[in-house]
Amino acid sequence: MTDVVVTGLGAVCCQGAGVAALDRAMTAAVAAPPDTVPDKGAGLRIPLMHRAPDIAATGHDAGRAGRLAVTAAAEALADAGLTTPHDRVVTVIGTCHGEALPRECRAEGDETPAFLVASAVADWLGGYAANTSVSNACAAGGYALTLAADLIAAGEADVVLAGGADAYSRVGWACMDRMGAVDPLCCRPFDAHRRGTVLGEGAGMLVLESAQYARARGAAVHARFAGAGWSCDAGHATAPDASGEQIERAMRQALTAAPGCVIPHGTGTVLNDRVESRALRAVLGTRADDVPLYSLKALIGHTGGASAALAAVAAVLILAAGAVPANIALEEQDPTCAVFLPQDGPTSLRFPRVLVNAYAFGGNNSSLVLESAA
Amino acid sequence: MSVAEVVITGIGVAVRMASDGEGWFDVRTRLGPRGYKYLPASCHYLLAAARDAVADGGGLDHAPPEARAAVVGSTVGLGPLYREIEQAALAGDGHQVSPASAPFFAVNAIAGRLAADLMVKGFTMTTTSPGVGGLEAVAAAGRALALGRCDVALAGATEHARAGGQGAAVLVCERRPEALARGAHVYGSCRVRTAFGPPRLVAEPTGARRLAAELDELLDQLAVSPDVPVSVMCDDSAVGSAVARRFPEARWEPPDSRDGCLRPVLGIAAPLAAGRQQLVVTATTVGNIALAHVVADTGVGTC
Repeated sequence: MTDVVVTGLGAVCCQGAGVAALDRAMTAAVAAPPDTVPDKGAGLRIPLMHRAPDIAATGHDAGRAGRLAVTAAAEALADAGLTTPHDRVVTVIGTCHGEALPRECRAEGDETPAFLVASAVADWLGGYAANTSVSNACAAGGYALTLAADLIAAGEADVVLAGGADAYSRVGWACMDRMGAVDPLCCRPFDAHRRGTVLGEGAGMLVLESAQYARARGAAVHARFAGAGWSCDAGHATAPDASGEQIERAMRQALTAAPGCVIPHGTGTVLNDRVESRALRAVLGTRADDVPLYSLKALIGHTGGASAALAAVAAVLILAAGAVPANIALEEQDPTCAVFLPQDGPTSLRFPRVLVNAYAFGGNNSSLVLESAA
Repeated sequence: MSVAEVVITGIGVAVRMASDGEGWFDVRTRLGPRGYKYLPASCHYLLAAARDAVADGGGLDHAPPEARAAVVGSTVGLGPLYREIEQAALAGDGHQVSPASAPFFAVNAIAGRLAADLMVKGFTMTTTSPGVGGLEAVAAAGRALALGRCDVALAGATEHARAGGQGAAVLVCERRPEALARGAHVYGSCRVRTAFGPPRLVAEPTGARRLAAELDELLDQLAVSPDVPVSVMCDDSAVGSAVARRFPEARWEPPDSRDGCLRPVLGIAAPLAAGRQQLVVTATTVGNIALAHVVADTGVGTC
């Protein structure tokens, strides 16, 4: 099997633009309070979101999601030591909402596709290689990263810029509000008092390449892409299968050795966190009480199609530090979520690999593992 | 790496023809009396096409649910629904959005419904690149089969534009050795390659020449011989025109952006069903490009 490595990272979220901003926020372990949705006309009952910083248009992007994506992509590409225009870089970008605001501002009858985020990144890149938009909702970033690794494994690409991006969408927020899926206070996964999630904006990008290609061009390697698994519940449109059978199967596919940390999907939704906790205990077995979880969404909200990509960036930061940062303090951990969430300070990484879970409406489950390159 | 050849063993199409009226798709007749009425139209079409494809391919019993996959392209499939939801939200009636409709703010809920209908537990993926999402789905299904992520994959597209294309097309894809071992009828194979043409660069002669070179490389990868008939589904944008110029002898079928990504999938289903070779080329104004090479099996019956 082709060895796939990570050579570049880029991130934008409510904690700021840049991987360094995310790193600082993870170290500080202080969650930003949710912002008010800047769209009074949407009539949301709970108008909360985690808003990313405003970014000036570059001329290559169609809207806000594209700007977030291009910003993170530029950082990842520079981090990998690659320059634009670049002919060999394939792009695979996950997004749930697409380029939502332009769509929602369009005239009646204009049904031009909304999914313009990936093409905005490819246009900015200025190359002629393949470009794919993946829209597996909140797991889109995880599917995009695994698809990127598959493209390299299949010999269709040497280097892939992959990740996810999402920005405010009136339709997306309205539907989550309608379904009663938003917590009126904050995003607090695994807390006994959680009442839903809080959506956020963001983009996470990684440069993946074959180890051979990276070696040949002398690139610094941040991590190895060590495994991935996909599955589907084939059941309810929004709720996870309570048995956790399929999310467990995706994790087992991805894991080839013991993880030192898990970044769970953990959205703050009552059933989802409970099912994921049980599945993690089944997969980790006797190690479940010792393997720390890092609950990223408590820090930056649920960034939809970007969430798994931002989690992958966080996983590489954890591998580099050799320690798992303290989680945002819970008011009271849900006793039915029997997972290890250290909150008092950093926890040493006993095994040099991080499992990243991402789940989505439609029963889409994605797990991937990033491993230290050392 | 050694890649197993992927073949098509079932075809299903549910598409509105020019002569069809608004009520062309009867949900009760096509899908059943209960549980379907309130699903979005693009979901109706996909379920109907997938069921037909699976029946045509001899069922799915040869693959356990965990070995089944579905990859679906859709780029404008939920446009009318999004418009309704947005109008309700702006009118202060967001709370009246149907609970059956709300999950479909995520376009992959369409493929999720298909998974529930046909017990697809391997994985589902939704590809949404403008114009080429359907062909990307076929490519992704082939790659997943070659890498062993599944044993059978349903791949295709579904769209629902009020004034444009309406319908779905689904192909059953599997590895040739397994298909032959179970005695399946093999229509042939379809290999897809994609590229991107940066619109502002392609508008200049240097960029157009660079794009032509990229297309030549894709044609080499697909091993397309010069005598293969070509169907060009490119719009009149800078990218579409540059791609179309590479195939001056081709049949040109200019698409409507409202057709989404369905028409290129119909463009590969037809030659497969008719037992002939075809190259389908599609390109869109935002830059996405796809080439699909259909090679029908010879010496077998055609539908």
